[in-house]
Amino acid sequence: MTPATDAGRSPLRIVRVAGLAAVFAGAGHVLVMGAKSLLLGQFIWSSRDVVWMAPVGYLLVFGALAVPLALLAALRPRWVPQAAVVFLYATAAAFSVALLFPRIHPIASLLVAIGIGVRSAQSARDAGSGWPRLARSAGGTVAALLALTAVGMRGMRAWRDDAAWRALPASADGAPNVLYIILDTVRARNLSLYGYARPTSPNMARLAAEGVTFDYAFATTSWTLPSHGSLMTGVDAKELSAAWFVPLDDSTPVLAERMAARGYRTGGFVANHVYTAWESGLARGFHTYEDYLVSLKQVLLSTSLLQTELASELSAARRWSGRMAALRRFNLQVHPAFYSDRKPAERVVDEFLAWEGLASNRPYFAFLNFFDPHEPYEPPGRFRTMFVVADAREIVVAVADAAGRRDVQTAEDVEERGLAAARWAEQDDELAGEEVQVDAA
Amino acid sequence: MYIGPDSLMPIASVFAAIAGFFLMFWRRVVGAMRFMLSKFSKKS
Repeated sequence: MTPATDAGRSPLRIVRVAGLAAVFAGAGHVLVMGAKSLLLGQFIWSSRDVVWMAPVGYLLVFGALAVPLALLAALRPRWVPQAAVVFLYATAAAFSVALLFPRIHPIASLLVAIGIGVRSAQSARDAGSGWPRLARSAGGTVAALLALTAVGMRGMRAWRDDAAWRALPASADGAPNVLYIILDTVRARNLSLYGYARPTSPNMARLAAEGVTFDYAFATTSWTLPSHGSLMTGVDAKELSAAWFVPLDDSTPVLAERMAARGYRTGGFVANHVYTAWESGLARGFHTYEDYLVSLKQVLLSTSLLQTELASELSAARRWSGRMAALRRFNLQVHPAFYSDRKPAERVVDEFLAWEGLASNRPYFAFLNFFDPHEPYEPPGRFRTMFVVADAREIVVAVADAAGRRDVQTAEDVEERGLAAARWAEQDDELAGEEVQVDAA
Repeated sequence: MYIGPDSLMPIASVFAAIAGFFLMFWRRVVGAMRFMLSKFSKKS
């Protein structure tokens, strides 16, 4: 037994190996995301803070695994050989990065990761190879570089936004504030404002009574990005660059730019991370643009392991049958677009009010995107059973679990028409819960 | 024969799997190559 093997049994060493693996996995994740976004111009569906969120996320995930291992090493050192610990963590780190390549089947990714794990364990076991020391030193350097990059990017963003704000021309006297609220996914036919039988929008109806209601207005298309693009540019969706995997380009002036040119300070506060976040092209012209939350859940969801279908299905399943079904499927495909910490309308309003309250003698243009009525439906508090009965909700959850999806996509997925009706009511619950926030804003 | 994005997943996966096996059995692969090289050099 080599001295290195003895040292590896120390619980502290296990934590150190976990930390190193997290740093390398985080760095690999950031590099892949950076290359996809900056070099290939692809959507990465990640927060701009992924530079620090991914490494911290891996640190938490790998650290959670290190706790039982370290305890076991303290009690039964021989059960936790160093080579096994290095193999486990090197494999996990390599697999985490390999999962980010959707063109490679997860099983093939796992084989590559196991190969890297085997090589790392062999190198670590060879006390004379110098690899453990090199890995520690490289890990420290990479961690420092990641921290510097994260701080630098945050600082650069704050400086750029501040500079743009300071460079604003004078606004016209008495220029009014403009608040632009979009209820993502909501149809007019589900709003009592437009005659729907259920009282889903009493606050909007009250506002409408004091203002103007457009009875003959249509979205230019059926989905978020080009539809928002039209709202922000005044150009028909067909003439915009915005598409399924293509952001809105800067060939057409946007509303926020026009407002800023008239001396307005501009702020965007959005909850639809898939198609209104920083990389969608809709952030152009805004001095402040808040999209992804900075939260523990978002940090954890910045790791590829927790962006897999398997992890999502396990966390979404509310019954054991659903969890078992997820394990049987064992789907390791990564879908970062679908998984982020959902921002409720209440939080969007909080962000807006905090920004709006900043001392300024300028008028503002604020854009708020509420996402609550988009599935999965999780109506807040008292709105949970405003229109849907609790039993029906249970049935919907069971059907969704059985189908192995976070939620049922269409009425056709639900065999009985009664379930579709329950789902419809559930959407109305969500809508009513969100609509209150229009009044709050 | 058409080779498009749909073909890339199996092709990339096969290459990745081969790379994985090479890494797993690296020492044996390197040992075998050295052995073959030494045999070849002796013959020549």
